[in-house]
Amino acid sequence: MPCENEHHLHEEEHGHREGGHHEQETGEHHHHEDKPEHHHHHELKIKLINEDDGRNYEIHGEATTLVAMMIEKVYEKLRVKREKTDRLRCENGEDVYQFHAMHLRAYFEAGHCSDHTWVFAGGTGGA
Amino acid sequence: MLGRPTPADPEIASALFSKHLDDFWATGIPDRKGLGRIQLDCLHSVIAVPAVRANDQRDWYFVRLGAEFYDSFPPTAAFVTPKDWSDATAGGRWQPTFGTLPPWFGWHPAFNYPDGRPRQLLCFTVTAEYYMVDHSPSEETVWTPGRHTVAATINRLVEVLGKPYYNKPAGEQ
Repeated sequence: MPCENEHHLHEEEHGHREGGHHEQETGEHHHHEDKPEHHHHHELKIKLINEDDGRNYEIHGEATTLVAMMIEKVYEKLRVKREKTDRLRCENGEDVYQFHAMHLRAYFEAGHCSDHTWVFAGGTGGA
Repeated sequence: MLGRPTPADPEIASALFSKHLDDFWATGIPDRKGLGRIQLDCLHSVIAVPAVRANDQRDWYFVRLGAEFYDSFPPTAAFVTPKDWSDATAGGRWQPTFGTLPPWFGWHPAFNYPDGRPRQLLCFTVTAEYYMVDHSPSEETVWTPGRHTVAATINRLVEVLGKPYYNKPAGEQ
């Protein structure tokens, strides 16, 4: 069977995605680069990888933003409800939630998530 | 709650499966993880995954993913042999062993399915086989089209084939 994929897949045809959920943000920001950087007003950027669908996003905060606020931004960006089985980690596997009370600048300066990348995985069942 | 998997329209399933794989590969994440992708036919692709032992030694595995039920249900998944992409046999080189496992993953090298045909069961909520066996997953872990794609299956597999879970090939003494 040839893989012609004659059914061109526009999101509307399937109705799976909510508006905006499918935005692929990485690389689309005009003057941001992939590496961590400090912007005007001490803006800090975190790359967010959603392992559930493979999409990448960016979230932004300031030096004094609490990690808890950035976690809230994760859920706003992904448009999913927070569940106790969710996992949010650095790429080295370190849990992010435990640092909710830290300010973002202090969080990074303490050596957490040195690549400024968070990885989200919704709850999974098994065994 | 999902019931038993029901076959999808092959053309739709094939198109969705390819699109989701293409989208995932376009992020660059699979390349960073060293993954390979081999398309077998419209409904099946093999993902080559470098498993990482505790001592950093790498062993290749090949996981055949199928879109027979996609994406109302997750892809089918099985470890296969690179000789002919057939199911890897229990106890052989092309099936892994694990030291510990995360609470969200189970591995059965030769599971007795309700249809009476023993075969592998990669037992977690992002494979179709999980739903072929009686389970009671919590609501938020159930496969949800639009929220989950084949990327979820691949990412979880890569995770369990790394530290601290992966041990060595089943066929290795």
